[in-house]
Amino acid sequence: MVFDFRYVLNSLSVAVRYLHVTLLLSVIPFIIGIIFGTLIAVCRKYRIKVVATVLDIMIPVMKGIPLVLYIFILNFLILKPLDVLSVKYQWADSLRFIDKIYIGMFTMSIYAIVIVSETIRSALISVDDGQYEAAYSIGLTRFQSLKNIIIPQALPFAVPVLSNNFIGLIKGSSVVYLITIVDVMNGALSSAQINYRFLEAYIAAALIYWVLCLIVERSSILLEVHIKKFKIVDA
Amino acid sequence: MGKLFDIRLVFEYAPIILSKFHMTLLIVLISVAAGTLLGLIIAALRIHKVPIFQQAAIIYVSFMRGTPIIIQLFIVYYGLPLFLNLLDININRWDALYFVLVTYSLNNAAFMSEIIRSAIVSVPAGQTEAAYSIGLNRWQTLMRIVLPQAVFIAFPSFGTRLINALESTSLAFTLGIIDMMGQVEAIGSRTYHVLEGYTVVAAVFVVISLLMEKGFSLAEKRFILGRR
Repeated sequence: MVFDFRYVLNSLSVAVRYLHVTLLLSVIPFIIGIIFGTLIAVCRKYRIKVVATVLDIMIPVMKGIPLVLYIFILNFLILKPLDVLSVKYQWADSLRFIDKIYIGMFTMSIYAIVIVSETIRSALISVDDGQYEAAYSIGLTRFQSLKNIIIPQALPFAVPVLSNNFIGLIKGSSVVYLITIVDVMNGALSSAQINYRFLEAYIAAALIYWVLCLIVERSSILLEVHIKKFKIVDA
Repeated sequence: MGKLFDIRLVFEYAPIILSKFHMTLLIVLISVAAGTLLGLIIAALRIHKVPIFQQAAIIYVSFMRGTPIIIQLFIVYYGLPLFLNLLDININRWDALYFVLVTYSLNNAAFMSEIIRSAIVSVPAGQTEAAYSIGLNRWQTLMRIVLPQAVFIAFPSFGTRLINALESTSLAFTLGIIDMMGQVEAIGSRTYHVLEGYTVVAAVFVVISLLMEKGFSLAEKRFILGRR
């Protein structure tokens, strides 16, 4: 079989139709990750009683588990009990065959929370302790000091790493094809089922992911330049 | 089908799954070693701004960093035989493991080249100039002055990359090689019990990555902080 570029275009046109699935599986988890990740990082930084200790153990452990395992385990954990329950209580089929994209989004969110919380924690640590103490000493509450003092200083550190995290999520979301969600990867493959042009299909999928990642990278660089404008240069 | 999760099966499967741990280790070690060597070459091409090769290296690194490893695996799996066929080399009978090793090495090379390049660039230019001024040639300057300093700068990112490389090997089973994940799939197709197997694999990954993290941060404290 000879490589034929026309099949790449063919796969590309099919795969692009599922772009929204890949975006759903990366953008929403990223937003959820930023919200909960910030909460977790702040809890750990301010040593909230008990919670911080639990998180100190939980997050490093969860960080060690690869994304594929999250997807397989959670897919199984969510589907199997639903299956058993729906047989027992004779629920409608719609509950049994819950759209897998929700499982994908849930899994990606958990993964995103873990990695983003680590990023934000290191960004919070990168701000000098004196800044926390100074904010505290002039009577700001924790929320005020975070909002007005700490986060503006932590942002230039956090943005490039966050954009890396986001790229990681986009790339990681390709793994959901293993639990039969039809995203860009699976869409490209579905076009190859007819003509067995798998190499062309994979290249088409790769091109889409590449473009997505380049867009994120470029916009992160622009954002960085914008943020750094406000940075006070050390004397 | 029986219970959802049977703790006894975890202990029953653990030895079977752990017996395939050497595959994971093999992939990580070979691909990181080959990746570092290739990465050095790519970094050198970019630092010395060799025309054409430099642009090719930039595109290569960007592609490798911008696409999922799982797609790279399959592109190498389907593409490499086709490509080598043009050169009249037939590798259709190759074991899937070789394709996995090639992919992970190429992937690691891209990331390593970035780590090495940024480390070398961050060594102050004054160091190179000083070396030239006392009469060292290019090679001597690189080996005796720049690289020793760059190694210490690159060390922490190298550690992170090694842990990432370990985690990404969990996708190698998609090509059908029997590593730890592949073993779980094999057990699962025989007994319909996968959750117990996944728990074992997850535990192994957690323990190894925690150990590596601890080891690297200890090494960093021991060797690096005193040198700056």
